[in-house]
Amino acid sequence: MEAIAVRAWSSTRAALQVMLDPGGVLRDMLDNVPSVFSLCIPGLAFTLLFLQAGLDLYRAGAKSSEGVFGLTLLGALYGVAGIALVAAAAWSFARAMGGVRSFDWTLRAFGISYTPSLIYAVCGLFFNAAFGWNTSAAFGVTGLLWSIAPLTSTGREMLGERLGLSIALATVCGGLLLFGWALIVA
Amino acid sequence: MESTVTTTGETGYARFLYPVIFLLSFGVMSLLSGRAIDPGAGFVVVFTLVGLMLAGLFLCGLAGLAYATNLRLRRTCDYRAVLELYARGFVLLLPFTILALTGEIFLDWSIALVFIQAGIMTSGTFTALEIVKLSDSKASYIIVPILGAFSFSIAWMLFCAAAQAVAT
Repeated sequence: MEAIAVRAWSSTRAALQVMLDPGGVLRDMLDNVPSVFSLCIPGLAFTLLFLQAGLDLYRAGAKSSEGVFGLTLLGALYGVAGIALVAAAAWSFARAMGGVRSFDWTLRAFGISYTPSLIYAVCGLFFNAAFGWNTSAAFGVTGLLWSIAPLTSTGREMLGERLGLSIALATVCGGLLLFGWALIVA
Repeated sequence: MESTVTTTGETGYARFLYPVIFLLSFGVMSLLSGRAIDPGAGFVVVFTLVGLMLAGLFLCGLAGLAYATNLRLRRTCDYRAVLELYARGFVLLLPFTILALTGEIFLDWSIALVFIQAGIMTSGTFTALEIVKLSDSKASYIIVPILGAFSFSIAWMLFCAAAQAVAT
């Protein structure tokens, strides 16, 4: 029991640390995180966000249960493939600007950057399922916005602490995924 | 004897740019928030001006609060250096402003409040971490700046609610 409590506290502390000090977490943890695991984070986050959007539409009578299932699967694909594509584009940009980080590192960093979105997606799904609230816009947009800070920290690591360029990179990458999600679920 | 830092060591260009970006971001965010409450031009102008004043006051207040409550920071920096640190940290509001503006123009969103609150908390946290770095990495010094940013975020929400009440 005590071991479970210690693990739970450790996980909670890690999640809070990602939200408060994403750069520190990236530096400390990234080497121990496999690429596949880090891609599971945005995959799961977008799966849950698309599921919430599907549930909202289902309650409004605009989607059938099969439609909700299809939208959820699309979310999983969007989370994994979308992040991989955006990470590839960011890596190419960083290399052109003199960055030295590998593609594997970039992929893992981008995946981990979506931890705040996953936290929001889990909270949103709870309120959606338990209280019947329409949570996709409120929790979805907020969760995706919270990933801007870790993306900026990732950009600073990739671009040698150049704040302006890393903000531009985070804006474009975060914006692509946010507006892509919004256009698909609209 | 330790010397007191009077600026963050930025070049003159950056020191000028950060407050401009801060004012520009809050100007655009206030304009978008004002439009969502009441699209009348007069209301939007007044709302934007009051919003800018509120944002400026909060920035000075947050810097003052961090300076007053952090003994280690006071040993190495003066108030102006902390204020510059905050202006630099709030550059992170720019992505939120661009995304809010893009959403408003292309997707007809009217949720500037969501963007500005996330932006304030993100920028406040970013600055808090910079303050901790300047305070010999003592982690407890993160609490006051984060609570300050949270208060700023809540105050902005109350300001919008009050404006909504006035408009209706």
